Amino acid sequence: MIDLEQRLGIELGVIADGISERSADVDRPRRLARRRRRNRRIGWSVIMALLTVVGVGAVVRLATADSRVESVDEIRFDEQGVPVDTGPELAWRALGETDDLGLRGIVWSGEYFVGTANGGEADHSLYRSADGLTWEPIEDPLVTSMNAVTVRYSDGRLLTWGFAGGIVDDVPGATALAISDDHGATWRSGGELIPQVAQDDPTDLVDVGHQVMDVAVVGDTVAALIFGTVGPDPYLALLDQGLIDVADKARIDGFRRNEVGGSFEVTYCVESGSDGGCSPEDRRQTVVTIPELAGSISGLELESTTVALSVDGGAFETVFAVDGLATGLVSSNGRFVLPASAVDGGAGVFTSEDGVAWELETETDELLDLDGWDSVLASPVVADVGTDYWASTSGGQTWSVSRLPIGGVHESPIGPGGHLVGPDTVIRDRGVIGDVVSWVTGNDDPEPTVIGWSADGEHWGWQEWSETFDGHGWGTFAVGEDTVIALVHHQGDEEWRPTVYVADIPEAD
Amino acid sequence: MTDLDSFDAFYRSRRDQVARSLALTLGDEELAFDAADEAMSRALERWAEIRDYANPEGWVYRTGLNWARSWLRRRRRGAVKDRLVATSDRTEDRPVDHDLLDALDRLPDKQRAVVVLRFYRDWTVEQTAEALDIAPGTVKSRLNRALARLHHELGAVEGASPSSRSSSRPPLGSPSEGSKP
Repeated sequence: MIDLEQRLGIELGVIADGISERSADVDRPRRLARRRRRNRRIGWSVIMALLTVVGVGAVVRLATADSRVESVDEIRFDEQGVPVDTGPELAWRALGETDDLGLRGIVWSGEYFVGTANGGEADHSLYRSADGLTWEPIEDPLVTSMNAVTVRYSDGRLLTWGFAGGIVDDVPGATALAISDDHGATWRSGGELIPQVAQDDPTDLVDVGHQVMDVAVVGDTVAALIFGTVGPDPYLALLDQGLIDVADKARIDGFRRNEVGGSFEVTYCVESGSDGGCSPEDRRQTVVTIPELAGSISGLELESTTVALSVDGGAFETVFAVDGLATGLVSSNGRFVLPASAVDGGAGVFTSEDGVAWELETETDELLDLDGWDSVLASPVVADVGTDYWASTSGGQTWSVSRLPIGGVHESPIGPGGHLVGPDTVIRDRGVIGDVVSWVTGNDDPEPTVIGWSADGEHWGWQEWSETFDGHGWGTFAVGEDTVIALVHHQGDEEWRPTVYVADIPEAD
Repeated sequence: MTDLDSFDAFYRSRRDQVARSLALTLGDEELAFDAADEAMSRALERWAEIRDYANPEGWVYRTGLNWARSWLRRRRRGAVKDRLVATSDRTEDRPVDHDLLDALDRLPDKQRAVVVLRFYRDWTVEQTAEALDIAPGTVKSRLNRALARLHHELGAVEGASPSSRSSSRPPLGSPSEGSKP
């Protein structure tokens, strides 16, 4: 006769023994770690490098492990896996270094280039320039020193947002957004995102931090795509871990975040009355840190993506939880467009007229027919074995997709001494003129090796990064009226004085 | 031995155990092995620190569990969990106790994790607590709740009339009357 505990031990062992073994590939953790580092890098580049980019990372169906390209309508490769020119290359010329402004990225405003500087330490957050070399500050739209300021062009307006390490309107850790209808000359509030945790309906996991991935505007509505990290519900964790001493009749009345990712001030009542009230002598307060709640927060990577709206500069309100991995948010033809991967196993694009009601445009592994759309572009987002990205055709009236492999599971050689682990970034401006693509190589310290230019999404010119930009590094791009500007940070450039390169946009055939 | 050598040895010796523990907890073999490798890759990044933990495997288990829960949450796959023993009523050597398996399946995730670590891995309360990063008292309370629930459910099943049982699956080798609450 055996008791339940013995029975559990025996039975679990039996079941476990029946689980078939999987080959233990010691290289797999290394590959996963590399891919994660690259994902982090891309994530930061989205936020910090003013990429006017959105992404679709499809769960692609690469037919065979050795197929470098499953479906490539536009980009061709030679036998070494190097893309072959099918369109004109850009003729880059170096203009010189910018001043020590801490410039991180640029965007075309419709009238001039706008550069974002390293918030917090820099004198100004935003600058403008006609040629990419000479910059002058424009009115800082935000009320205080900001970190990680970025800016994008959306629906004819400039949007800028940044995380405030200090205080915005007495709210710690808020993200402030601003809109300019006149190319940055004047700004108005686009709303603020205030970090908070769920209070009314605690569930198992709640939002314990967020970061703005992207913003877009349609009419008077600003939508923000928010990447959130969820963690243990403080309510349950407090009780579970005995961090506060509460009796059966106790009630937690509220949490207030003291700082981002730091601690919560918890108000609770040790003996709530039958009417739900709490006498002053029964009310308590305590401060609990996130690590206390979650134990070691390491390894906790629970993520969610939501959309929040601000109407006419009002407070943001979360309106939509993305079912999938949202990778960007843009406006297009008076609609919000939100591409996402991992939507029912494929790629999908959500659209919304008002930001509140969202519709899944398609959920198919087949190539999306985006004919007629003019402002959405997907940059690559790493999927397991490949990356889709979307390119517009001329005029932004039609779109086509290129499907490229990436490293990690399927590493493809590209040129000598490296592996293709990109494409890394697709930089796009105004939705109509052209794309610049850079690919990265390398395992531990990936860097772009190839950049590509297409004015129509069909014909591409490719250039080796180090030859084009006089060495290794990384850069940000903006497509202007007649020129493309690159701010290139060379390896070892710790001063944030990027070298400016400019190229005339080739005449269309 | 270099850090990498040390990690490789750890990976080779512990990865399957972690994956099996996760599979028992999650009810999904494929996800469990993916989660184990994801967690191992995170351990690799911090191996100089984690190798000195009292129970590095516990850290990997917890990290894998968190990763898998996140994955499930994003994909809303929680409702379509597969049975670990779905195709046969027998493992290689012996019948499977489906009643117990069903009851385990119905346990809340957190309780099942404690049960798996205590009774499959045979870890102490303290080791289980460390692995799950919860207080030992929490381990005990979850364990008590889990066992009470299992007792109740198995008692109900075993108390049912034979005609109400779904199959003629044999119970475990020994009758479990003595384990009724």
